[in-house]
Amino acid sequence: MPRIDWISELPEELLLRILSLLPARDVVATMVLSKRWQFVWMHVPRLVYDDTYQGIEHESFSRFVERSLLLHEAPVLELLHFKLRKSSNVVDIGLWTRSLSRRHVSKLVIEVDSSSCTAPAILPRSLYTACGMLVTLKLNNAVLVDFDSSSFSFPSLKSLSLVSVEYPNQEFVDSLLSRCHVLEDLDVE
Amino acid sequence: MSKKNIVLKSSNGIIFEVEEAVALQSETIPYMIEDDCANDTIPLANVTGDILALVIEYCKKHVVVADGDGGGSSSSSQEDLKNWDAQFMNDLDQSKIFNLLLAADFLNIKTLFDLTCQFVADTMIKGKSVEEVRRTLNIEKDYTSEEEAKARQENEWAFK
Repeated sequence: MPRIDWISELPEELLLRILSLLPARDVVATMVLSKRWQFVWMHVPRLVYDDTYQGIEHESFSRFVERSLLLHEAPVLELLHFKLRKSSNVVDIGLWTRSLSRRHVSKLVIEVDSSSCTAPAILPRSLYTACGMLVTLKLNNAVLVDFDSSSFSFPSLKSLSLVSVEYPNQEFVDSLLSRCHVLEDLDVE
Repeated sequence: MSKKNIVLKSSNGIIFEVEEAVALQSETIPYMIEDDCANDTIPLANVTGDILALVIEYCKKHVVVADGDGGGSSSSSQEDLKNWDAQFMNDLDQSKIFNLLLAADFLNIKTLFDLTCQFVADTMIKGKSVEEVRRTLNIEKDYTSEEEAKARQENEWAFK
């Protein structure tokens, strides 16, 4: 049997579907497989960052997310998913999401593992401005900080899930919801 | 009891006759039926006989369960189906897997497409080093060692 490189012959669209199912570490590493693969990773429409995957150090993880989001080029991100166990990584979310403001992110999921974080994760203010085009937002075990709600809105947000999320006060929630004009699903636990 | 059958013809001329419900798991075939109503044989120019046989085997397995008890399949039959899917994929070589992926895409059979993509991602790429992925998928390194070292150095953040 000849050993044929089937995968490199696939149309780009199918390659992207396969890569969409992998953790971001594995996706990005494909850049050195061969010349064909050099830029493919930059167009993958779903990115899942897990800070326990392959046990990398906090510094390296943070840099990895920052650099890869900066170089990533897909104008539309169907999913951006952070699975964070270390509260120190949460501090960086503001920096990471800043590179997204020019792009269309449909679904953002931020999950913080409560068992390994002593203090709840505090999400930065810049998160709100980076998320104007979101359709789905899912936050788990985090603290939303107060913000000036007149400066932005969530015109496309249809599904909002806040599990173990702390927020400043009831007015904050009312104000947040009043800015979600097309919300269909709300899940608060 | 007479159920409507559909006749499919592979690119190399092999004929398959299947129940309509089996064939209609493909979202492409209904369009082909409409376009081609004068002739009852649907030619699939992109799919060879051995791959079409696999597609049909998959669709037959999945149509039974969907019929089962009016949509509310029990969790055990779901479990059985998952095991069957895993075994089905495990028995295939790479040539079959990637041609099945192309066929599932062309015929627009979403569950088969997802299953194949997931299998490739999980068993051939996930958690493997660059060298292991190359070996597994027969990807020829068309960089010189110096070029590769340079690419890794420029992107050292990705390999730490």
